[in-house]
Order: sequence, then C-alpha cells, then structure tokens
Amino acid sequence: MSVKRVKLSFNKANEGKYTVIRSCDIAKTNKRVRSEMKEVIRVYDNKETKSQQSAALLVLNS
Amino acid sequence: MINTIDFEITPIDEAVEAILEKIKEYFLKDIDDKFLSPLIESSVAKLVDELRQNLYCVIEYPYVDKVYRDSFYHYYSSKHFTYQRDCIRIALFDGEITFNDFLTPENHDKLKKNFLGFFVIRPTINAIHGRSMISPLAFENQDFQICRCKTSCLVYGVKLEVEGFPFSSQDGETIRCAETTIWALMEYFGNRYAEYSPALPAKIHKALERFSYERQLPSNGLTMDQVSFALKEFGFGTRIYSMDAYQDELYGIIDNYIESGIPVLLGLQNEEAGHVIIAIGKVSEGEKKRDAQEIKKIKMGMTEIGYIETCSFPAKYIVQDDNFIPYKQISLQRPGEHYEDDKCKNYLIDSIVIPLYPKIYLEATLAKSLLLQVLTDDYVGHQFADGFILRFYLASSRSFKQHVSTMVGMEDGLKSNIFMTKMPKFIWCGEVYSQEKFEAVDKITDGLIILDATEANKESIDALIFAGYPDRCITLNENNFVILHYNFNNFHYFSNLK
Repeated sequence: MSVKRVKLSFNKANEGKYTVIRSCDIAKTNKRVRSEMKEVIRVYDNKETKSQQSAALLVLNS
Repeated sequence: MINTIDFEITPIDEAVEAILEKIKEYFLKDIDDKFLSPLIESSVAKLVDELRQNLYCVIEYPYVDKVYRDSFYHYYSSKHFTYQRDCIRIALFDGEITFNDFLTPENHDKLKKNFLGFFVIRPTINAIHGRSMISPLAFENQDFQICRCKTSCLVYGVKLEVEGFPFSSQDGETIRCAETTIWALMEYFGNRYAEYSPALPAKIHKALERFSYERQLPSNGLTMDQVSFALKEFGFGTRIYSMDAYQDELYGIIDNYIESGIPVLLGLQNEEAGHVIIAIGKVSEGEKKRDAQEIKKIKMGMTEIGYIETCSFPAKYIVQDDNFIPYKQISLQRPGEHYEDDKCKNYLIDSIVIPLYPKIYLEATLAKSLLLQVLTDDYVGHQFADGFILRFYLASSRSFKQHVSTMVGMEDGLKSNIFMTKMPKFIWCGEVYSQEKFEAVDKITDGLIILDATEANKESIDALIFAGYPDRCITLNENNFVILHYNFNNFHYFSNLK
C-alpha cells in the first residue's frame, strides 16, 4: 500500500542540522540589550508625552 | 419626482462642458438665472485636466451618493435653503465605449478591464467634488506606488471594480479636512479589511460626541488628538508623533509606516491655521547623491560602522489633500508646495497620527532600536560591511510568507523553515543590503531580521522571530534560539505598496 500521508516538522525538515544557542549566551545578550534600551525607552516615553500634548493643540480646520 | 436616470457618454476632452451643462440642468433647475461661477468651471477642470486624454466618461443623474446623502439627512435637510439630495456621477473608462457595450454581455469583460473609477459631483455648489475612487492609471502622471483598496460600483447595469484610494473634498459645513480624512481612511480600511467598516460623516460625529464640548455642526474642524480618538473608537490602536518631540526623525517614521503600507495622517500647521492630509504612497527620486549626514553609526563589538536607512533617501510622497485632486506629490519638508497662497505654502508637518492594528504593541522607533541591537549582537547578529543599507517596515506575516513563496533560487529547506516559523499577524522586518545590491534592479538582500510586532517587551530579544545572514540563519525551536546552517540568499525587496 502506498503511503500518501507526509508529515513535516522542524526536526524532520532540519534532520538535526541545527545548533541550539546556549541559554547563557542569550542571557548575556538580553543583559546587554536591557542596559542599551533603557535610555532609548526613557527618551521615547518623554517624546510620547510631548507628542500627545502637541496633537491636542493642533486645530485642523483649513 | 424623477423616475428615470439620465446617462451620457462623452470623451474626456468634452467632459468639462458636459458636466457643467449637467450642473446647470440639474442643480440649478429651480433658479431662473443659471449663472455658473467660473470657480465651478475651474474646479471641474482642475480634476479633468489631470486625467489621461484617451478616457471616456459615463455621466449619470440622479445618483445617490452615500456620503452626501448622509450629510444631507443629518444637516442640509434641516436648513431653510433647499438643497438637492441627488448627485451626478462620472464613471471613467480607458478608451472609447458605447451604450451597446453595456447591453452586450460579451463586451462586459472589456468594460471591466477598462474601468478606471468614478467621481461624484455634489449639489453643494461651493464644494462640488464629492466621493471619488479613481485608479491612478486614469491620471497622466501615474509613476508611483500607493496603498490601494478595491471597490465595486454599478454603471448602466454592469458591476465594475476599481482599485485606488478613496478621496473627497470637504464641503466646509458637515465635513472639513479632519472629518474628510477620517472618512477616507475608514473607507480604505473598511473596503480592504474585514476588521473595519467605513464611517459616514454622522458616524464620525457620533464617535466624537464624548470628546466634544461644543456643538459639532456646522463643523469647526477637529484637533489632531480628536482625530486620533475617533480612529481609536473605530478600532485602531493609534499612535501620535509630533515634530516638536521627534524633529527630523519624524520624516523617517513617516517613511517607515508608508513603506509598511499604512496610510499616515499628516497634521500641518502654518502661522494661522492647521490642516490634515493623508500620505498614502511614495515615488522614489532615484539614487541621488547621498551626503555624509545621512550615514548613521552603530557599534559592532569594538568597531564602529556606518549604515544608511532607506527612509533618508530622497523621495516624494503621494498624498490625498482635500483641497486638490487625488494623488498629489509632495516632499515632507514642504507639504504645502502646491498651494498658491503664501501662508499655505508655508505649511509644515506638526504632528502625525498612525492608524495601527490594535495588537501591534511594538512601536516603530523602539522596534528599529531593538532590531539594531539584534543586528550588532555577538550571538544573534552579523557584522555587515561598513555603509550597509537598512530598510525597515511592518508587514503582515501572510503577505510576507506569500512573498517568500515567489522567491526563485532560495533554498527549499530555508523556504520551508520560514513557512514553518510561527508568526504573529504583523511582523517588523529589517532588510539589509550592500550599496551595490540595493542599486541593482532585482534588489537582493544580504540579510533579513524579523521581529514580533505584538511583543511589548522592549528590553530583551524576545521579539526576535527570524534572522537570515550570509553565513547562517537564526530561528526559534521549542523556545530556544537555534542556528540553521543555511546561507540566507535570493530574498528580494518586499513591497507593501502597489
């Protein structure tokens, strides 16, 4: 009897030809990203407040 | 009472005369002195003159236009002066047509192929241009890409479809620039996505009732945050950005969203007044010389390298400005350049509103910063050559995967991994090019980073879904980041605009 059902999954598609990045390396990356993004987020929050205030003052009637 | 509809077919070069005749015949029928202001003639000619010279028009009266009829019942009918409730509609066709084409089923395919949209003339004599949906192909100048939606209409018994962006001019009483802009945006999203529905003027006023401290009609306009509020009421997760806060970075943000296929509401201001228009597309100004100021720097390990964002390349943007005809081209630095009035010429962008899908929690500027963090990382990044080009946009994962499926030359295993990657409805994408590859016709990327647009955590790489580099790819399997041993290649420029 011919087999017509074909299953595909990540493991089958890659047949072990992949490497897991160690959790400790990702943790290092996340630590670096957290410290770099802290200032970016602080500046963004200020800009967000300023933007809302500006939008409330712009009257569109032309 | 009129029991029949009058039709007329006319070539475009006689259309202005024919439309003015109809305005006199139908809109001024109760007035003895049928004097038509030259302003009306110039207003009709302003649109018709920009259309291609081989077009033919089908003019019909009476036509029930849903937008004007809504304004009529909620406002004009309550006035002492008698306003008519019917409009004139002009349907546009590429090349000559006859009434026989409509009566002969074999010719319907020709009509469908050649139909280029319609525009409506309202009986509000001071503001005659009503709802329109005209294909960019109807215009002489059509070398641009825009966000498009499809709409259908019935012309002399035949159902026809057109793709374009909705447009209307303001009537100055029920809809001013702000309401017109909200209407056009909702008409676009309502026609394109099942999640939204079109909003007529009365519905817009109703949505703003809670945010209004005075009467709403006649309209005095809205503030930019009221526009944002109305869109939020209609189901968007709107974002506001102002020039005051973002300075020149704002131009890049506008470009990023337009490249994402999201129309952007541009709030303009001069010394006296405010105005709002919708940016819906762009036309690249080619590969003009890029000066040193456009090169940004990022740190990769111990070295600092330069990169250029495509949003800083010279470009004109396509806008719907209700004081002009559809699809005007402007530069973001001089949005009032088409106005004759000196004060309007001085319009500058003050703030913008982005109508985002409500579950896009990762905002553009933070997403881009995060993407650069990924790109420069030792473990999940890649060291691209100095001066690389970054193109950043939002895409639906469906259209992105559909695009990948059309890639010729991409390894099947890599394609398969991209198709198997579980993605949210919307993703942030960063395409990386070398300068040579970006300038080539086929624009093949060197790298691609995909971030989850629904991820609110901006302080980690949790949003990373996929990264493709010349030497490897990175994806997720069982909640672990894994390296796939594929070289990312043969991925071409993805466009959200048509």
